[in-house]
Amino acid sequence: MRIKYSGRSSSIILLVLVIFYMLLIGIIILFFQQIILTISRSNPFTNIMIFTIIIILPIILLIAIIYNVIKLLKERTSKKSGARFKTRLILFFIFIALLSAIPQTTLSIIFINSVLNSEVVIRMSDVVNNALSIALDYYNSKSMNLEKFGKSDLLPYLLRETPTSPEKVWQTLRDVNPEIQFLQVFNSNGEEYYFTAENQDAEQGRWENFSDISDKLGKLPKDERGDITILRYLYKLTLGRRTYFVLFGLVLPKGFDQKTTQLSAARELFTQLELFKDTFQFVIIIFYCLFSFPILLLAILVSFFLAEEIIRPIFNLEIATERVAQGDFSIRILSRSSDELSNLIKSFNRMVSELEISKKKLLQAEKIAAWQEIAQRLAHEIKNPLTPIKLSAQRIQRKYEDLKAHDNEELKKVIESSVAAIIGEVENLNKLLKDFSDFAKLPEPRQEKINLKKLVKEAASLYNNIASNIKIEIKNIDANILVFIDYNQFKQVFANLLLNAIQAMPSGGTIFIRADLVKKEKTNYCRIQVRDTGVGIEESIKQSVFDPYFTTKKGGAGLGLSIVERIVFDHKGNIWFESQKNIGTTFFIDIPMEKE
Amino acid sequence: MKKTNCFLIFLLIIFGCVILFSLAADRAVAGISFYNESVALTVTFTSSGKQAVLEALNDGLKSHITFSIKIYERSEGLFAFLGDRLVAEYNPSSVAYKDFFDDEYVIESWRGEKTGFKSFEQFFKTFLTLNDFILQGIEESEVSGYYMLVRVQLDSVKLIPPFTILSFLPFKGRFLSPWVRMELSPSTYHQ
Repeated sequence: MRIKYSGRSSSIILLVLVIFYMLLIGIIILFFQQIILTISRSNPFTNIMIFTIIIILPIILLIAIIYNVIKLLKERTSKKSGARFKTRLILFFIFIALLSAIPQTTLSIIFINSVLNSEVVIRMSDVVNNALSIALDYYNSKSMNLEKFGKSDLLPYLLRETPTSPEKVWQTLRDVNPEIQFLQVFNSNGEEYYFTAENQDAEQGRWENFSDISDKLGKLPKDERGDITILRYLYKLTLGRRTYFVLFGLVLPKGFDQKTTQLSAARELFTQLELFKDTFQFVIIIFYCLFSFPILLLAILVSFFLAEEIIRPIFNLEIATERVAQGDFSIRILSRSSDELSNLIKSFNRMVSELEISKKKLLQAEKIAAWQEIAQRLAHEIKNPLTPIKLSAQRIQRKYEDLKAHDNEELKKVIESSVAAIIGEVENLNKLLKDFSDFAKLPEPRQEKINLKKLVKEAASLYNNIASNIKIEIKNIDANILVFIDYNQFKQVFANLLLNAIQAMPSGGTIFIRADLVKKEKTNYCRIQVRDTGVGIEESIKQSVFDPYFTTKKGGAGLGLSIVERIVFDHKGNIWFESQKNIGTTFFIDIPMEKE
Repeated sequence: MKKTNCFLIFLLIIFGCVILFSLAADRAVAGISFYNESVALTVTFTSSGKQAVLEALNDGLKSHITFSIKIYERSEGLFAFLGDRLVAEYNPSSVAYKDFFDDEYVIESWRGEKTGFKSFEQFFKTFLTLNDFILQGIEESEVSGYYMLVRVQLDSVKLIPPFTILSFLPFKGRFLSPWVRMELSPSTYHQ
């Protein structure tokens, strides 16, 4: 009988769950930014992943935990062995899981709260707002200055020499308003008449196509060109009948627009933080709990499986020990791991195996000793009266020889047949007693390396021509197989087995003999099979086949298979048979290949 | 009647009122027209979120509007119970913000175009309108048996990461129209 460990499939499911969860967490960590970005865009991948982690996984885990709790409660109610110890183990594991989870969660929540409410965040918000305010003031001052200058009454006077000496006008403008960085003059047809700029950046203030702005007198919207922002003012100058369009302006410091965009984005972030801080804080904590909740559930579920893993071998050992105590030495525990518990189980199995072998040997020895004693007593008891019977019969015979010439024929015949019968029966008894005696005095085997095929062939040759309808087939015996046996004793073994097989096939048949090499634990065995196609052995007598003096044949001593069994045991081997009615019987003999 | 039942009925009435109010407050009006075989959609959203948008923009935040358009083909015959087939889906969206430097309201469309408005009224009207949106891949000749569902969602505050996580929650600055169904045939104008 084997006690198996039944929790393998559950462990695999648990392992798959753990790996799956870790994979999801790994993906979230790797793609956190993208997930946060896509979270509001109904991204199917993100939604499925979050839905799985937050809803499906905890549900599956909860169901598994409830199932295990119910199972444990049932085990406790039915007072199943190990249930109390298992409960204690599970509670201990849960305690350990909570011991780490509670402070971790508390600390995380405190950390989140402190980060969101930190002084740094508030100050940063103020800094950003102030910086943006400064930038806005700067921009407004430049813009207003330009507009004010464009609307001033002084401007027509300053521009009066534009048709004749634009360079002079530029110098005058710069003297009056040093912020002006470029000047562009168009004639009434929209053609560029003059352009100058203070520097390379200011050259970008040049307007290419006048028709785009011809109807937009005054301050133009700011123009962004790469990292440069330009402010322009378009003034219509009328001198007599001539009309000119004067475009002047300034360039803001390089990167002004990008920097203010960044500041605007930062202000947007801080404003949202201020607006949604409480909700965000709450949602973050909820999300944190939702993500960490499955971990806690997994830990609890793992504790169930771990407790089961620890309890199972101990429980199995307990059952097995009870069975051994009841005398069942056939019990074995299957173990798949290689830890200390597994070593203990292996040791237990080895101990029970050895106990089983010892018990078998003891029984066999007792059986043999008992039969030896019986045989010796029987031989002694029967042999004592046999000699006087035989002597008396011989004396009658001799006397009769002397008198037979005088007596009548009828008396002669009666005495002749009676004496012959007495002598015959006495000789039969003698032979029977010799067999018993031989069985009792079977010598110790003299083992040597014997070629098995040669031995089998030799034993079979004696029976090859015994009947025309019996065939002996020697198959699958390697010519090189050498077994460490007593040649004469094994010849007797094969002789007995072949004789039994022939007698089991009254209408003829085939006897197959084969040999294979097998390994049991650390020992190599030669397994010999002798199979007949005879009538088979009745189920009711299978138990007694190897018992001495048990026979189904008329005139048989019933010692053949007992002698075979004893020889095999003396060689540290094993013998058994399989039989099916009207199909045949196969005898198996395992002989160790090496001498112990 | 039991107290619990009374309470449940009261809750249902409140819920119904809220639904009706929201339906009345925020609604979309859609119409289609055909240009050279193409189908163009115009959607106008009437929303109660004007003040919320104005406040958000003046606080330096961005607002966001999404027009959800789904084109379905009606299923007929034996397998009609399986539902209608989704032919195409469009989600054009625009972002609005205030440019404090030029003191104007700017709409940045899904095409990346920026348009500035000095007047908030004009800006808000334009922002809530999807004008002549061409339904790519849909041609006039094939629209028979098609119908369209349109819905508009206005978020007075466009959430930025990491606050996008809040989009799972009901948000008071969100204005959502009910789905409007309309047949895809010339001169259709539905509410």
